[in-house]
Amino acid sequence: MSAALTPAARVAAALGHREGDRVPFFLPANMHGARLLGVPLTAYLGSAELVVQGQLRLRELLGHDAVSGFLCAAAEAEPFGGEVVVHEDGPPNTGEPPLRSAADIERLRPPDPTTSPTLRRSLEATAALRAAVGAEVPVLAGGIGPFSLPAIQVGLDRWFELLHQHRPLAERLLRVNEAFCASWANALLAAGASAVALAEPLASPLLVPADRYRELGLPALRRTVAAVRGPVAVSTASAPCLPIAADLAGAGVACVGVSAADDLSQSKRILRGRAAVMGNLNGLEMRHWTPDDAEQAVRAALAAGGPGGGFVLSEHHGEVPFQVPLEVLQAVAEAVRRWGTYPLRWADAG
Amino acid sequence: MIDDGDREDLSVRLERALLDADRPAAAAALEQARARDGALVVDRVLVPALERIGTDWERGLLALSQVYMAGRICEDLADALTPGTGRRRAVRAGLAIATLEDHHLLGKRIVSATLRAAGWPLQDLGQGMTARALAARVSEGGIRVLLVSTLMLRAALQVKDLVGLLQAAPAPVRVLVGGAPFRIDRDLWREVGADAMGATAGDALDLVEAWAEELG
Ligand code: B12
Repeated sequence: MSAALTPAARVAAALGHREGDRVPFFLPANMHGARLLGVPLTAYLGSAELVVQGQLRLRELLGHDAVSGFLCAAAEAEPFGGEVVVHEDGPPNTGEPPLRSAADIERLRPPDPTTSPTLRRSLEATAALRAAVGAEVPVLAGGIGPFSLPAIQVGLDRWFELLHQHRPLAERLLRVNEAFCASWANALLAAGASAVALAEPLASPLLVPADRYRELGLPALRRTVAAVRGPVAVSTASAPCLPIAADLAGAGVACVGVSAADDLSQSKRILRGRAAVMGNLNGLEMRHWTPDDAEQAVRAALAAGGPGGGFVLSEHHGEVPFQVPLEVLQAVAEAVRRWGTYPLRWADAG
Repeated sequence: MIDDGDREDLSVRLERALLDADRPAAAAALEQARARDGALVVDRVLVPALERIGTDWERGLLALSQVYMAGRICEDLADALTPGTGRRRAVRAGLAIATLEDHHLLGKRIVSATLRAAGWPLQDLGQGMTARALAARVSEGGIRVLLVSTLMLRAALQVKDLVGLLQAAPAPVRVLVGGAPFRIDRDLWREVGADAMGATAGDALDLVEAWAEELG
């Protein structure tokens, strides 16, 4: 058996479409650190220091291949004048969309991400995590893609109306968002992140017709990725991805996150040699999983995604719900250790 | 009278116009249908078009932005149609919709637009509501059929509290839930004690129709 790789080398092998020592995995349990530290969720997400401790404890417990300084998606409403509404039993949410009129969009300039207290806290956590883990462990960072950000800037209803009926205004907003998204990603990389994962659910044909996304959203993603000084992953955040997966890879991303609704083997075939595949365990279902369910789900994902490298096992949305028991996450981790060691002979055998 | 074949043609023409978010073309198709057979236009032309759109979204053939635009356009057009289209439906048991907890209204807007376009009188009890506030509004308003839309899991789980609180309402209240968490975890509606769940606005139409009949 080959010597164990560091998490960074294991992930690099996967992104390079090679089989490392085992399939790398990461469970984005952004809130479970609160449970491990025994502190209320709002206190946890309100403190970079607690998030760092929580992420390190989680890695000790699960042995997964990264840590993350991501706090919440709602934070990205702040630089645009929106608010973050916190809860003790689940992730923060945004309040009312801050941009209310066409004039608000016309006069909008890309804001400085560091004007937001929550985003600053995320930068702080990222830097402290890098200092704590050194070069051996990837530090992940997260952001919202330029085509999805309008959902919290103007509301999804208004965004759909702009896309279908006021195209110049939609394009104007996208230009601002590309610039914002790239500057936020670059700030995260400068703070020590290894890669930035963008949640771009509006790229999914569940939400916007693929031809419209290709016309408007994809060029925005391509320009964003080109302006980011480091590796970018993009995911449709649990919405179906397959019909546009090749387009996303063509935008220059290193990794594409697919959903539980997407066929993993097919995703691998489509993306082979172009982008690694990340996914695709269903976090909402995990609430009910027995250790046996966890093992079955992991085995199925490994068999479909693992062979040949180019695969990172993860949850498909980018956040495991707070209500998922830690025992389920441990069972997932245990199953990856048990079945994920390369070469995956058991999977080749059928 | 127009025959069933004509109605289908007009309904398909309407559907195409709605999917292109082409309001004038949608209005023209509906107007033609109304001129020929006013009383049946909603039931036979408009509702089937919206139902097909909802079903095609569930089957992955359409995007939600199209469903939303179709619902909005129909809601406006149906308002203009009302005189002479006959059947404004009545639910003696009051019918209402609300979004629990958050400010993301799209699910509620799509479902409301569809029900209203189909002629159902639907009260909008608001958004960002707590289970307690919503239960109070339902009891005061004599609501017997309540539609609840949620986006976040924590909000979906609060339906359990809501259902508990509604036990104390003066008359039994049926609760129909929907929204992303219920679509992704198909057993969640049972876990929270709802009476049914709908994956699309079309499901809401079917269930409301059936329940209104049962409740009289
Ligand atoms: C797009 C999206 C985003 C976008 C925009 C979200 C928004 N609207 O504000 C962005 C990237 C900003 C985002 C962020 C977050 N998201 Co999000 N997101 C999604 C996604 C992909 C689609 C959600 C959506 O808006 N759909 C549009 C609505 C209208 O669709 P719908 O609710 O399904 O409604 C349809 C039907 O269900 C039905 N329906 C709706 N209501 C009703 C009611 C009745 C009675 C009936 C019959 C039918 C019905 O009709 C509609 C049309 O057919 C879903 C996953 C998915 N696959 O669906 C996750 C999802 C909603 N997100 C989720 C989460 C957690 C978040 C975040 C909290 C993540 C984080 N940690 O920060 C943030 C919160 C940000 C915020 N809004 O404040 C979770 C929620 C569940 C949970 N785990 O708690 C989901 C379900 C992902 C998952 N798999 O877990 N998200």
